[in-house]
Amino acid sequence: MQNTFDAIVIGSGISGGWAAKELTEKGLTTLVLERGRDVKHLVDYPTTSLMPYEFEHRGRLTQEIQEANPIASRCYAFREDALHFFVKDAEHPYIQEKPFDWIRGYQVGGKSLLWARQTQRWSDFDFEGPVRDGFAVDWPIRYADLAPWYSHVERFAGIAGNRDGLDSLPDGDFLPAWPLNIVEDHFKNTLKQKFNTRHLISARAAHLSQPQPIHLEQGRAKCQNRVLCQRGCPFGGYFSSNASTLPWAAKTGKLTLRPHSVVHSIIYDEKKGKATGVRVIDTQTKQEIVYNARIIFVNAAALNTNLILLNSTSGRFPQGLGNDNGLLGKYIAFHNYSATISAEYEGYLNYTTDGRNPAGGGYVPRFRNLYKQETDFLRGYAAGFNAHRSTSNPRPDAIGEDWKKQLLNPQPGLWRVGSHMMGETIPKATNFIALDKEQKDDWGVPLLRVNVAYDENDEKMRRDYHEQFTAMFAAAGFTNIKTHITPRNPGLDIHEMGGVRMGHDPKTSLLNKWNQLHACSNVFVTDGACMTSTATQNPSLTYMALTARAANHAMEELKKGNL
Amino acid sequence: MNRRTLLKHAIILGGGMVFIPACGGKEEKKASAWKHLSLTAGEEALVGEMVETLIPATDTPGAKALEIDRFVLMMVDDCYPKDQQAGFVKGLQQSPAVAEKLFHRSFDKCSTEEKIKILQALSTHTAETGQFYKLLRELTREGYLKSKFVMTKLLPYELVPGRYNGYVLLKQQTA
Ligand SMILES: Cc1cc2nc3c(=O)[nH]c(=O)nc-3n(C[C@H](O)[C@H](O)[C@H](O)COP(=O)(O)OP(=O)(O)OC[C@H]3O[C@@H](n4cnc5c(N)ncnc54)[C@H](O)[C@@H]3O)c2cc1C
Ligand code: SF4
Repeated sequence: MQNTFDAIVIGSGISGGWAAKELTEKGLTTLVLERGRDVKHLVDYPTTSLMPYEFEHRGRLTQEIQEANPIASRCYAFREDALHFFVKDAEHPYIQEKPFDWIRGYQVGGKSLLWARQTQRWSDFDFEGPVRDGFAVDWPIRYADLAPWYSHVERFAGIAGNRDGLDSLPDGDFLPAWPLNIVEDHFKNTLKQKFNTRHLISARAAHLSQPQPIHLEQGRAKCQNRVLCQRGCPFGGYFSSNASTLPWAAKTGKLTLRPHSVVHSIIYDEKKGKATGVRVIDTQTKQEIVYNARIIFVNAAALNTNLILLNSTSGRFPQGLGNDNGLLGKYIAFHNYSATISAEYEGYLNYTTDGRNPAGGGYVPRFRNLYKQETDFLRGYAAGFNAHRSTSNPRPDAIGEDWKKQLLNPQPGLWRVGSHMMGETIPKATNFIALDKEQKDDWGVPLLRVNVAYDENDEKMRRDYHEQFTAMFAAAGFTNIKTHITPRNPGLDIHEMGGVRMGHDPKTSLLNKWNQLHACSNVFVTDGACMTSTATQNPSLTYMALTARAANHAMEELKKGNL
Repeated sequence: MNRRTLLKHAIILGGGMVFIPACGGKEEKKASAWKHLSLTAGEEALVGEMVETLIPATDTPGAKALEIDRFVLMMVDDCYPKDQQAGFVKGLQQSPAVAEKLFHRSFDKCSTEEKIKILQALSTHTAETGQFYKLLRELTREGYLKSKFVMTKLLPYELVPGRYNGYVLLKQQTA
């Protein structure tokens, strides 16, 4: 294998796949380095067509697996059908100074195989958050900078959604939305009538509800509502790197994908004043190999991207690549998913649903502190909302023929409704990650120490979510309303962000407005590590748009001879 | 032998042992090679009788023919922590006494109505029989509804629905 490329992309997940697609399309020979094994679309989805009864434990985890994997087991998708796409606890240890559930997928495609496909754009209420509310630093970009790139990404990935016309959640280039059901619509109408700045929309999700020529060209077909996406989809109905960006990049003939390749560090050349390549350990041979390139995209997912940069030390950068100000690894933030609420509804008993909704139901965009500060906590939360018709069990003590008859003739019970909060957390210097000074992994890379926790703002926000949603549920006539605190560690939201934040000023940030390291401009960071603040949206669509935008800029700069 | 063939063998073996009296003493030899559970053939046969009582054969197969007893034991063996496994086994072992107390017969010699009464009595007999019965019932339900037979013949599972309709009008109002 040749060792010199135009571009190197570290990581083949959601953001790395986009980097690969954009860079190869622009004609750059691109090496994608992936620490895990290869997962080929269709070929490597071993469970995709199994019926529920074909799983020995009908989808459940054995006690042995749970005990060996307390961290991964806390993720709802870590089940018998998709275990093979998750990192097991013992495989890649890290140090939790405070409890942090780090959920990872180390394989070609990364977590794009596993994600829940929820995709919303940010608005200027989000980009202007830090400067308006006085935390973190100002984002160096605004919605207008990213809007065309959101469109670019949405058209290719395929996002189902309605044009809802909300200023808090800009519309995109959508495929037809999945419908809400009758009770979800009832809640939507309640909000419209009684809470004028609060809205329920059909959740926007990366599913091909109506494939366009660009999707068929990728070899993908219409989503068939299986809702077994975490197994890998035989139709390519949802967006993953494996189904979409990576095969597309491969078709250009410019892509070299190298699985089993852990990037140890990025090599900085002091004379040239830029990065010249990366040091890789082949996980099968344990050999160290150096690859060179003109530009490097770091897309190892937020914490691993921090780790690689922290581990890339040189005479010029003794504290890690680009880390002149000592802020690398700091201002980590995440999403506050620590509360849910459930209830029942006794209306519309003559209706039910049929089939399955890949988008999962409805989405309530942030309404708290939106136009102005109105509570005693900063920022706010979005929320998922869905309703389903339960199955009634009128005779719980039935035994024998009686019970058998009941089981075989399930009668619809009440509607059950539920919501979960997705709160913004405030990036703080005290939420940080660092390298352990002694302990290393099998590849000689220092272990990560994670120091991230909830704070008082998060608790206040959770209380408010419970209060507001209780009121909204009551207004909709829902009964048996129950609020739940779901005691979960940071990380389990799987939306960890920051550590290499973007900003105007090299003194207070690591990346410029094009996602280039201020101090080493041919290194681009476009995954969650670059996020200055978290907003409330599911983040991956924004990583994709930032990646495509940065790749375009990289190409322009290369053409101008600036890199 | 991999685990699946082992299970199949165990099933054949288990099936042949239904006729052994279910009141089983401790001297009976172990029936199947579970990882954690240590049960006599008689105790396993009793589980078979019980799942069949919960979901009997009618014009469609009952739980025994669908090997739900094997499923229940496999799940308890694989998917539950030690204390729940122990509670399950204790409860199972205390069950024959309930049959003796109520009807002076072993469970398998009782009529269907008597068996139902015995199962109902398990809920409150001791903490362990209560725990045993709860888990037995839950797993029987899960095993039955997620059996190949039910999922293909009685309540067909659609792997690929290809649709979602959020407004399906029911013929008559329910609940
Ligand atoms: C169950 C679940 C549900 C989710 N739901 C949603 C959702 O609804 N919406 C949403 O927006 N997001 C969701 N997410 C989060 C989403 O998956 C991530 O935000 C997204 O995958 C991040 O993209 P990435 O490219 O940064 O990282 P990843 O997709 O994780 O890819 C990173 C890749 O880098 C590789 N790598 C790491 N370190 C190295 C190294 N040193 N050398 C070489 N390779 C390396 C990894 O193996 C991996 O393949 C969900 C995640 C999970 C697990
Ligand atoms: S819901 Fe759609 S995308 Fe998911 S597995 Fe099914 S067909 Fe594939």
